Amino acid sequence: MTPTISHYLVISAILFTIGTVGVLVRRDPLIIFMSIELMLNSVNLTLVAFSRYLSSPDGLMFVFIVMTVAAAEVVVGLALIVSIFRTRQDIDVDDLDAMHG
Amino acid sequence: MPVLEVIVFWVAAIGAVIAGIGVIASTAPVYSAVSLIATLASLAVLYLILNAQFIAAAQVLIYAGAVMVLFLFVITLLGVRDYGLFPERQQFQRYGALVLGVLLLIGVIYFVSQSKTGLTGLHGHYNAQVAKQGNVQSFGLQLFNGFLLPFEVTPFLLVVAMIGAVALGKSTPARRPAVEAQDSLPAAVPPPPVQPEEALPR
Repeated sequence: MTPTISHYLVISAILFTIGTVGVLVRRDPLIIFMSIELMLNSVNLTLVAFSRYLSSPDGLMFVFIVMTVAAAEVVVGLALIVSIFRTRQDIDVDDLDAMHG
Repeated sequence: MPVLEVIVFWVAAIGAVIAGIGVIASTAPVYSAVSLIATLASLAVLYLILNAQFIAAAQVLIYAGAVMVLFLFVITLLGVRDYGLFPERQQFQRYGALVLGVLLLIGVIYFVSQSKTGLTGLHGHYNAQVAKQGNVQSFGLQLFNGFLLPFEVTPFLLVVAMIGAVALGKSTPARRPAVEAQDSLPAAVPPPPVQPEEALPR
């Protein structure tokens, strides 16, 4: 079956759903971060597929910017996780309720 | 489209989905990270099929290279314990998440299938430009002509992220005892032995 844009969109939807379920189900902040990366990448796939389909370079530029933002986000997020781990020795996100109102 | 390309597409697509399930289904974080690397590599193959060679190379270099090395580094540095797939607390949230995820998937696939004939948009000339000038050259021309401001803003973003990471990684002596006292942890971590460990994550 020759792949069309619908195939790419469905693959992207499946990956995005996996990422969403991962964020909601898992309690390990590292795996939650990886799920967020998965969601970002699924959106990147959508952008590239639409860019190819519409013969427009805009989607590729967005993907480029999204990659930069994801790299920055990972740096700050992992620094936060390391910093929390240093003070608490346990980083179950259900226990991180110090800012609970 | 050649038969080989179709085969490669399906292998990469199914591999991406299976590895994506592996990201959230494996108990040890290291296996999750390796699965995520496999997903990113499969997506890079899909980018190649979509004629986005530069993005595929950037995907392998930035994501599978830099970002995932950082992930693996932090995983091995922290040595976090396994949290299990379904922790004991708030079980309803997990099963609710699974149900809502399936609903989300059904909804998105429904809309995609509805829009199979109705996808509209303004078609450009980028594919012809790529065929004439090559992928990287066309990408660079578009980036520096039409998207110069976003490209110039990204260095600021990276600098801000770098400063943030350094500020978070630096432990101020005034803050540390207060946090430890609040969490009633034993003060078994004197500042001097922590120094070499703190030098690592930068």
